[in-house]
Formats: sequence, structure tokens, C-alpha cells
Amino acid sequence: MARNSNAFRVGTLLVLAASLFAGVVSAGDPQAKEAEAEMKFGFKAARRGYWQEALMRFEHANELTPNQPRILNNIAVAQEANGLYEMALLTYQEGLALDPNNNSLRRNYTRFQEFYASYVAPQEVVDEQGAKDAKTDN
Amino acid sequence: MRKRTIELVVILLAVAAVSAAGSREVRIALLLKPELPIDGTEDFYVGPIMIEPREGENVQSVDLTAAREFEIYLRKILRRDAQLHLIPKQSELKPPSTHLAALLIDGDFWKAIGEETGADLIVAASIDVKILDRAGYTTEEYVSPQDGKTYFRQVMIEETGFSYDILLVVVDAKTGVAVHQEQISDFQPKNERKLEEYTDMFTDLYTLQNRLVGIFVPRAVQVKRALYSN
Repeated sequence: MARNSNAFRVGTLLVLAASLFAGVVSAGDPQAKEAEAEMKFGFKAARRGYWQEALMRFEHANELTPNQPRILNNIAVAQEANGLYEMALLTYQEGLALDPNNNSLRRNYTRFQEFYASYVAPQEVVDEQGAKDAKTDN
Repeated sequence: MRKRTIELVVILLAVAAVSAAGSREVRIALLLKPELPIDGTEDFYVGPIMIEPREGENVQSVDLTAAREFEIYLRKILRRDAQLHLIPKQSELKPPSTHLAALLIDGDFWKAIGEETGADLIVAASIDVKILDRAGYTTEEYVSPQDGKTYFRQVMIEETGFSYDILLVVVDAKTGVAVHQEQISDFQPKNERKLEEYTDMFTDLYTLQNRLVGIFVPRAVQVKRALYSN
């Protein structure tokens, strides 16, 4: 009886590990492999502060395997780091539309919204007002 | 023994797979462009720093001290943190109005300062300082972790210090037109016993400092984001 339960435990764990690896590595699909390599490279570049390179890599990964919330998450973060705030907002929304329960995406989006609302949006209002004033002056 | 080793290896593989698929937190510096488009070659004149008039109240010594200290503080921030070129204070300015809002309409006043000092831009402000000395009890909601019910409890609130409301304007000295206006509020907590001492009124006011610097130069905001490693 005990031997059977042990065998079941080992079996379950093997299935779990195999399925996780299958999901992560996506063996057999060359595009998925290339996208994964691009994600890894982009992550390394991001960690070193090379955010333009990181953005390029993540975007390439997105071209190879589109509609992946994790890739869109990385693209949005890289867009933020490059000062492309409006684009980051759209990318976060696109990612959340695909996977509303993705915790990393949701957390990042919430934090970004706070930043956007307190720093970027008021500035835009000021810029718009300035443009209006200039038009009125002319 | 052998089975245990296999089990351990499988668990380790599972953990490795999970961690490899996860996200990691990274720090990024988000750049914010300055609110005023300047190239750093402009000459700035600081003044006048005015006291916001209050209806039915005379100017008090705290107002005078706050205005004087704010001018010193502003000059320090603009020179040290924003690295702007400031023109030394030349003579005592006598504005034709005590209201900064009214002065803003008077383009000739600003143009005259520009001609006299040679400044490209003029940074002026109006300051309203209030001494807050509030202490008392307030009722707040409290959810008990024991039974999950909501109760009301009395909480002692102390708010003592200086409350600032500052209107900062930047005026083009050539045209006499305001190119930027900003309302900034901040609070300097002070011990109740030191409320009569008008010293260090603008020490460690990070909100005020950030807002002031952000008008003239780009600044970076450090944030954390989750990034997938593969």
C-alpha cells in the first residue's frame, strides 16, 4: 500500500515537472525557442540597464509568438523605461485583455497607472493648456 | 534510499521549472521631462517673493520670516539642484500690487525687471503660511481581527507645524508674460513647543523640492516592475 502511494507521488511529480518544462521550453517549435532566447537576452539587457536593446528583443519575441501576456508585460516595462509612456499604457491594456488574471501584469499596470496619473497626465494637461493659450494669443 | 533520491531530484526539477517561468522585480528610473522648455543658457532672476494677503488679517512675523526664508531656499534649490544661472539680487523691488495674480497682468512690471537685471526669465512666488496647532480626538472605524465586527474607537490626532501654500510663477522677461504657474502645498511638522521658533522652515521638504526642481530640469523617478526572465 505504502509502495503504491510512493509510486503515485513520484508519478505525479514527474508529470508536473514534465508539463512545466513542456510549457516553458516549448520544445519542437523553432519560433517559440527563438522567442524564448530573445526574452532571455532582453531580460539580461534590461538587468544591465540597456533598455533600448531589451525593448527590441522583446518586440522581436512578440513578432515570433504574438499575443503572449508575459512578452507584452516585458514590452510595456521596456517602453516605460524608454519614456514611451502612452505606448506602455496601451501595451499593458493589450496584455491584460489577453490575460486579466496575470498577477505580474496587473501589479505592473497598477503601479504604472499611479505613476502616470501623478506625473505624466498632469503634465499633458499643462502642455495642452499651453498650446491652447498660444493659439488664443495668435 | 534510491526512491527518495529520485523524489528529491524530481521536486528540485519542478521547483527549478517554476522559478524559471516566474517574473523578477527590477528597478527602473523613469525620466520626466521638465515642465518648462529651457536649454540651460538662460539667466534667471528670483523675485519678488510675496506674502499672500489674507482678508481681515495683518501680516505677521511668521509671514515675513517665511517669505524671507523661502527666497533663500528657492535660490539655493535653483542654483544647487537645478544648476541654473541666477542673477544676484540687485535692489529692493517695490511691486505695484501685493497680489501676485494682479501683478501677472502688469506686463510692464516684469519687462522693467528684465531690462534692469538682464534676466531672460523671472521666478516669482507668493507664499501663504499657516501655523497648525491642532490636537484632539477623532473617531475612526476599526474591524476587530477577533470577531470581524466593525467598532468605532477614539484616536488622538496631533498636527502641529507649518502648512505652506505657494504659488510659483515663471515670467518671460522679454514679453512680460507668465510662461509657467504652479501651486505647491507642503507641510513642515514641528514640535508643539517649537512652533514659536521660525527656524528651519524649509528643511527636508522633499515634495516642495521635487516639484521646484521638476519645473526646470528633467528628473528621474525610481520605480519597481516585474519582468519575465524568459
